[in-house]
Amino acid sequence: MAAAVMIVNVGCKKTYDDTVGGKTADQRVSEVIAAYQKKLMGATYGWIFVESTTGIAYNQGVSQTGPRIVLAYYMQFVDSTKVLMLSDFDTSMTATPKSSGYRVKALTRPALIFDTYNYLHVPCDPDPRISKSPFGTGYGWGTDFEYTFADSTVPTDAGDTLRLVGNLNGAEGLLIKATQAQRDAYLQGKTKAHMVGLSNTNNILNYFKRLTIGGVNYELRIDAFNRTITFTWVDGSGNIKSQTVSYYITGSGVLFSAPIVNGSQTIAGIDDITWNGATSTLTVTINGQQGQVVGYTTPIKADVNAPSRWWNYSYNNGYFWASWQGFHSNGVDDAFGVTSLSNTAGDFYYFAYWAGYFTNPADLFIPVMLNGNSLRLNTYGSAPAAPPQFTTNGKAIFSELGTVGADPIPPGGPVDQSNSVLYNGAGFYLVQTGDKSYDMVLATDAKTWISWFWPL
Amino acid sequence: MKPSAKNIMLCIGLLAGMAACKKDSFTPLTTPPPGLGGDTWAQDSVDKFIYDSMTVPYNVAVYYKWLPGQLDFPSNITPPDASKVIPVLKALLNVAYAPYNQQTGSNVFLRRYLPKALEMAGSAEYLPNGARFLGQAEGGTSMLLYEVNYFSRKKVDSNSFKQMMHTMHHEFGHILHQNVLYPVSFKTISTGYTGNWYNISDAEARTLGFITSYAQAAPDEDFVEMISTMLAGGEGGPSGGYDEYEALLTQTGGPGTTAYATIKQKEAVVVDYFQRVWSINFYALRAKCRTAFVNYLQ
Repeated sequence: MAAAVMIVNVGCKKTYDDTVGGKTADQRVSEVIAAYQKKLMGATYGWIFVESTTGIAYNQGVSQTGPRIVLAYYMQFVDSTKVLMLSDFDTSMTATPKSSGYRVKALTRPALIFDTYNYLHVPCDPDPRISKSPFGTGYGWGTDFEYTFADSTVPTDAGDTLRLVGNLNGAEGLLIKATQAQRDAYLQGKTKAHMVGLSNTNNILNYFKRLTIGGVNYELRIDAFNRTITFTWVDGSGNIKSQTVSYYITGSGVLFSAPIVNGSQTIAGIDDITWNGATSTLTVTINGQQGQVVGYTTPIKADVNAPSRWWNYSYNNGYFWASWQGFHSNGVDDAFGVTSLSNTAGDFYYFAYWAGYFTNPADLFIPVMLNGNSLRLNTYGSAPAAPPQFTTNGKAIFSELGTVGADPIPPGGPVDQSNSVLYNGAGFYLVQTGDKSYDMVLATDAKTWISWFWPL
Repeated sequence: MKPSAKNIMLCIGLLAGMAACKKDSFTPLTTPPPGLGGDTWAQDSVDKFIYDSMTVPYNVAVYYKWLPGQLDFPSNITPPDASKVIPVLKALLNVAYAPYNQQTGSNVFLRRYLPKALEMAGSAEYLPNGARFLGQAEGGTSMLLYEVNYFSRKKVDSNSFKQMMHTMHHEFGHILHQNVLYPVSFKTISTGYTGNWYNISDAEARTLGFITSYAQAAPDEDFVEMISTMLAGGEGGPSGGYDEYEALLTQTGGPGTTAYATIKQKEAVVVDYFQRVWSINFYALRAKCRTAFVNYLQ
């Protein structure tokens, strides 16, 4: 109590000045708002906005986790309320600048708010039909449209870069002043060209796509949905090295969230990608050097233990690997139409490979069907020998012990065709694509594969 | 913690201390706190339309630009596309407001009772239980309209258009009963109000004597769902989508069933309420709403 009374006494003498530089807090806030406003509008060639998510999205205080992505926008703040933008979220957003509102406003800290709908809002739309978000209904990708200026300096000292942090999802944004060349590339529609160029890697029908640049070989794997690219290479000691990074696309090329570093070679992005229909190859420009991307039937170096690792994970955990679409073959997803499978067991949900399902022992390769709200096995499937043969050169070769289920397998149907591929004597390479995901690639010509994920 | 006598003594001490403070030099602030009194911005065609068509005739302010914290915080809601604002307002004026004006003879009724703030959101607001908000009304003062970005006046999209009109009539119904409550006996026509209404389909709700599943949430919702469904139809009807009130009634099992009688009893209360409280012939209003809707579709 004595302390409290003392504080009261001290507070009584107003001998100090609560202004900074003679300005009150409100005056300073007003100045900072005006300075940010001026800075945004003062960029002659506009801004490039790069937004990185944290992998968490919030709605009503409940969070969901999912893939992290990086998106890039081109923005021009044309006056104090209007902004024009282009986005790399979809090719339809790369050509026509869309206008919407924005404001710089004092919240807890000075904030930049994109206050009417634009391309920027699409990835955070709570309707998954619009955002294509895998985080679930009510969630976008964890991007934002209301940001706090996050620089520790005053706007005039922030140079050509402004840091932002999203207020709802905490996405990190970088506003970088564009150069004339960058602006021109955007307005000439180069972003779309680069996006198309990157998606043209799918024109190479082989699973293994090998990039050769400066005499060094890399295997490329692009996940267009999650916007990641994986570089795999063999280091000087013969070890397999792999690095997965997020990519985003600007008018000036494809850029990576972090550079690929292989000894003295650093790859921060791809400046240009051109498809050559005659040779079925891609010509790329990286660091000013030209390189080629060519389809291969074999991996750059097989992950010899991957097949047994894959099989044992299912066996040891008493559950199955699942695939949403069954086999991809010759450029066609769901080549055998398994997703349209429908019968008394239900509607196709995913294809399963269950190691050691039968105790005698045998594996199980069978569609899992959705029936009402529950999953059940299809009425027909196949039992591969357990375990498959693991070859010393890194392949798994499956052989059939027999068919299973109450019904016979319809000849020529999706399950029959899938079995034919599984029991191909050439066997499969297994490529680990994540903590709990593998791609299984048919070794004949690497044009047929199936993607497994762990459904638990 | 309850204040003890000691604490109260201390408080008095503090007050005395403050009172003893002498402020010798008091300089009034010349700069207002930033943003105090709302933001201002250069008015464009959308703002002008709002002023001319909503603010002047109806004394309604329309908020379409995202304001942090104005809508439910911290929900993942997106703001409207500015290009959708005028089309939505025109539809409201022609299909929801005009029938009231025609029926009451002028815009005086709406000008008096329309909530003074209309807030717009581009998306819906999704709740963790999987339900989503399409509209909200707060204490007779504001109305919130979601899914503005989905608006279309094309015939093929008439379901979502009807849903928006349903939402408007639903929220305006709340405003009306928040001004003058419906007869208390309405609350006892049905039993079985439940917070788990979203687990019940509309068709199932109709067999229980509720016109929509949401009507089963609470008597207030029941009352305004009756109003909005009679004026704008309802979801989950015999056609599989939006149907008029009469078609929805067939899902109760028809005349002779308890469910049918229950809903008809609620209908009578609504019609009587509009006549006695607001001097509005509800069936005539409904006819005007339906004509306005059909004429507005493209």
